[in-house]
Amino acid sequence: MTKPLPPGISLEQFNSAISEMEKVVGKAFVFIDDVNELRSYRDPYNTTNDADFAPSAAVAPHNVEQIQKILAIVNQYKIPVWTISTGKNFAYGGPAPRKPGYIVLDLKLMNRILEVNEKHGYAIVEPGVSYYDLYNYLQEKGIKLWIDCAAPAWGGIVGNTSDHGAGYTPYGDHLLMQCGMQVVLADGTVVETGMDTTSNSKTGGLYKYGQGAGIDGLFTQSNFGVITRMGIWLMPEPPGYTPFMITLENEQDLETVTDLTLPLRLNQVIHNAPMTADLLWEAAMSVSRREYYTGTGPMPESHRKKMAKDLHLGIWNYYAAVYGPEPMMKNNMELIQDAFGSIPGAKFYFDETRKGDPGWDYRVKLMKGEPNMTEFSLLNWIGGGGHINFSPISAADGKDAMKQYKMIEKRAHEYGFDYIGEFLIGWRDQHHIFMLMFNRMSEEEKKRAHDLFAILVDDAAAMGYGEYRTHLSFMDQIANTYSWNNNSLWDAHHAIKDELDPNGVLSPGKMGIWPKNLRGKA
Amino acid sequence: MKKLLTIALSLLALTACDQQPEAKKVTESDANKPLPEVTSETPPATDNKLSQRSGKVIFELHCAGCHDPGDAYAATKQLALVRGKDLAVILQRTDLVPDYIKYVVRDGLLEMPPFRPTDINDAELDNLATYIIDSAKAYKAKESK
Repeated sequence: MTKPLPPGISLEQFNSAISEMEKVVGKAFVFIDDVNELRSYRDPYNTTNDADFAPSAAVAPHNVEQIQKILAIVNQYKIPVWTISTGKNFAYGGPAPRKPGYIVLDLKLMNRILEVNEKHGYAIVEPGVSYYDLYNYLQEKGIKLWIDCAAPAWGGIVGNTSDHGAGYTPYGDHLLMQCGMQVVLADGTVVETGMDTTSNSKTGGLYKYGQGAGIDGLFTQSNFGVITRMGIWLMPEPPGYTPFMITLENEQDLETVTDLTLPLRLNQVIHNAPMTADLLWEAAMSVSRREYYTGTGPMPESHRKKMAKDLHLGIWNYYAAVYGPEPMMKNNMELIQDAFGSIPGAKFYFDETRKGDPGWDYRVKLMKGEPNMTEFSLLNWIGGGGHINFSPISAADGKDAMKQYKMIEKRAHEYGFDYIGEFLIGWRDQHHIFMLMFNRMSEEEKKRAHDLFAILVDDAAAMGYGEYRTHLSFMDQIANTYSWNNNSLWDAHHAIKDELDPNGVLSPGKMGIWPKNLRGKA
Repeated sequence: MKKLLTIALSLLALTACDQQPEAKKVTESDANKPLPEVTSETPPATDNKLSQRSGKVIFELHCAGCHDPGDAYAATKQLALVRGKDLAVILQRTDLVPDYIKYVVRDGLLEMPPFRPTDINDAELDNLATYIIDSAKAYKAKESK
């Protein structure tokens, strides 16, 4: 394999740029060895080839000043850099860049927790801080604040929030809880958003907007700047916490449970984002597919039924929690039990009746912001680890949930894959995550998974559903579904891109946003 | 800072401008403007030194989430299934050699993704391999008593 190089750059220019970067960050923090170093920057779970996303180098700055100097170098050479923070965005591309030859701008070593304010409930962190890091810090210092982590908690606050990730406590809408950020623009200018721009500000972590245009969102799921610090609100540890689970026996119960949830959620009777996970998702926390079925294609109904019975799982499994003083939790739980108790066959579980089940235990941890990695058990389902998430948004409406589920299940089965999925009810929306699992050692399976994903994007678009986030391979296809008024939204993205980053050096192609020199050439 | 802000906002106003971007002179004090109300001690900016964390610290941060013993740990469960119970728990295995451990950490293996040199640097990877092997030896010695 020949070394991938940045597009349009000769080996001589590349070496010269690398040598300049080594002067900025030190040789120990520039990685160019394709085998011993850069293979760790690939997305092992991709559906095509590692070479499609192979970087030419990675550079790891320690501070803002080094980022400014790196950006000056890449602007001079017109070399694209791909910014990552903790690099754990797996199922969506991990640390790998959109195109071969980019240099990864790896911010993992900028890992300071700059401030934690216990009284007002927020933290300010750098991009390399993982959920584990912040959690451990709060524990060590005895600070009574909770974090809200992604399910595999080795990811970080800045990366997950800026990719519009979600969590499981009442603070689960991460971008909603973000307050203030510092960004380095392509030309090296440092900008702070919101209140931190005023002199002697004491409210940067408290009030999101300030005067003038709110621009924080511009730097999320985009390539308009490099986020170098972020404020995130943290929930005070509540006096009480009651997680619960409801198992549901029938496929159609998805519709009922979704419709029953909406008023409880909008009125904040249920405080966090309820999850409805299908049988296989939950089963995968305890067993692998081969323990119940060794044939090919989706697992047959008879095997599914046996597994559900053995593991005391429903066809759907609903998780949520209430938080607060005892009388408030008791009151809310009565309303919840009245509502869901009406579903025939619905069974309630609590810690007393479910503790020790890995599926229950990790949800209990997630809903109180305790980092863990149990959800990686999904990768054991068929073995081989390949996975990619198809993530359409719908209304928090039972009919929509059923329509999406039936469409995806039918297509998944047609392509020979299991449907493994979960629904998360945010506020008025519903995130549907279809976990497409495949054996990454099988080229045939990878191709089949890739083809299935591509057709799901089109099917969902035809039904009026768009995705909230996606893998490197499908960013352009999904961007094209956001097409109203002759793609005017993407035209606006591109106008901003061209203005802020005229040389197109920052993460070209992120979410389908391309600089003018590469537009239409992907 | 005010001047920088003016520049930033004029850029955001989407005025037509086709000039080459020129890095503005931002001093370290601008870039690392002190934050208000620091209720916990703000750490100093990290320098260009490689971290030197012990194998135990690295294991607990990056490996234990999947490799600790028990049903909640994905890798332990999968190893028990495909390799058998005796090879399920990494810290109890005496069949592993440092080069193999280091290769798997950097390259990934099936369900496990690779770890970058910014997650675990080369010296720390040596520490990790030693820690895993020493822990397994200690476990076996205790077992055989």
